[in-house]
Amino acid sequence: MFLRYINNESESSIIEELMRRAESNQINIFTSTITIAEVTHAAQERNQSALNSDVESVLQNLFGPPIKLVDYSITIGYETRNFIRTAMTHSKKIKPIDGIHLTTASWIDRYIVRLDEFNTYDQELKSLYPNIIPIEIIEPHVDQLPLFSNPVP
Amino acid sequence: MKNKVFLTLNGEIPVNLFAEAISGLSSLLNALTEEIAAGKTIEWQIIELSAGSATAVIQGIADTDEDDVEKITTAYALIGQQLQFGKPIPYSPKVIQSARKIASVLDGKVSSIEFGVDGQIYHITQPGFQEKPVTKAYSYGVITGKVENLIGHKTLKFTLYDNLFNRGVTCYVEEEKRELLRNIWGKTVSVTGYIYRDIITGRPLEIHDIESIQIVPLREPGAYKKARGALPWQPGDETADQTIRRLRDDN
Repeated sequence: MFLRYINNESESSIIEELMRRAESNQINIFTSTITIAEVTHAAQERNQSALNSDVESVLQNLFGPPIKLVDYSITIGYETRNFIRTAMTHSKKIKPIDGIHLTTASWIDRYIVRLDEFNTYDQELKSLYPNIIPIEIIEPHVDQLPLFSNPVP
Repeated sequence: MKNKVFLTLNGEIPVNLFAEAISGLSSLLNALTEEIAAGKTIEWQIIELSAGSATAVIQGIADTDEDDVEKITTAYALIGQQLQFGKPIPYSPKVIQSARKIASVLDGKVSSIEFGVDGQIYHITQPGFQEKPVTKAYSYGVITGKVENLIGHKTLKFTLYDNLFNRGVTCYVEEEKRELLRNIWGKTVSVTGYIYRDIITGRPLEIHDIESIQIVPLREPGAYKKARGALPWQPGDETADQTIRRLRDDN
């Protein structure tokens, strides 16, 4: 969802509204630190070269408060290994990065705060709920967008 | 919402042992509250006492965040599980001491104890469990949080309240790196070093061999908005979802 926002694709307003709500402490947004690498890699590929310092600075501003970053730690590493192994017994092959994101969510849900949902636009991930992971996997959504919003700086 | 725990004693139950177990349960819940929801007020109320099976059902009522109650009941279930298999309890000495007090009522007359939370029941039949603390996992990494309690007496160290758990992480700094501590008190910093974590919860406990401490600059509100449209994209281009899926599938 973050790359969609950087691209300013459809539904970016929903993502921005979620960020605004997180900034005013109405909701929590967590993501794995691996998201930074993924988004930066995708951005560099689009650019077909290393990112200039302005874009890097913009991305750095994105991945910080109000987004709460969760390290890909040794604990998450072990849990991801077990998660991928368990999913295989359900005939589901989970890619490592998908596994890291899902395991991170599951870990936050158990040890930090109960999660209402795991947000993604990815169809493959959405198909994993509820058999593989008990956290609802749905697209980002808000009940209502603000009538007026500040222009993009 | 898991907000209730129960404790059952099976066998012949002398009143003094029941009282001992309930006292242990009270200490255990208070110690877990202190460890998991420091600074919060949670009242643990008896909502059911059943004489036939010597069962006490206790409900946690939080003044603010009910998630804290659920985290504590989850920890209670984990302690029951560890006791059932005689494994170490991955919590503070206070918690371990309270768990030991409950398990100590197993004297032959009391034949077993049950720890229960919302359908999960753990049967404890022996008072002993491994005393050795769970091995800590460690890896090189970064923890971000707020600095409090700088200590320079004998050992150089400070306490970092990490952004996720909001719990103290003890950071040990070598004497020759004393300069790293300058101006960090009260600031939000990122500390890079060897992070020792609780192997079960992943909570950071200590940081050793600290390489760097960087003050995290304050961000202006709404700074994230600058990222919107930062990359050129137009309808017909590969979408973000397609890009991310392709990159993940390539790995």
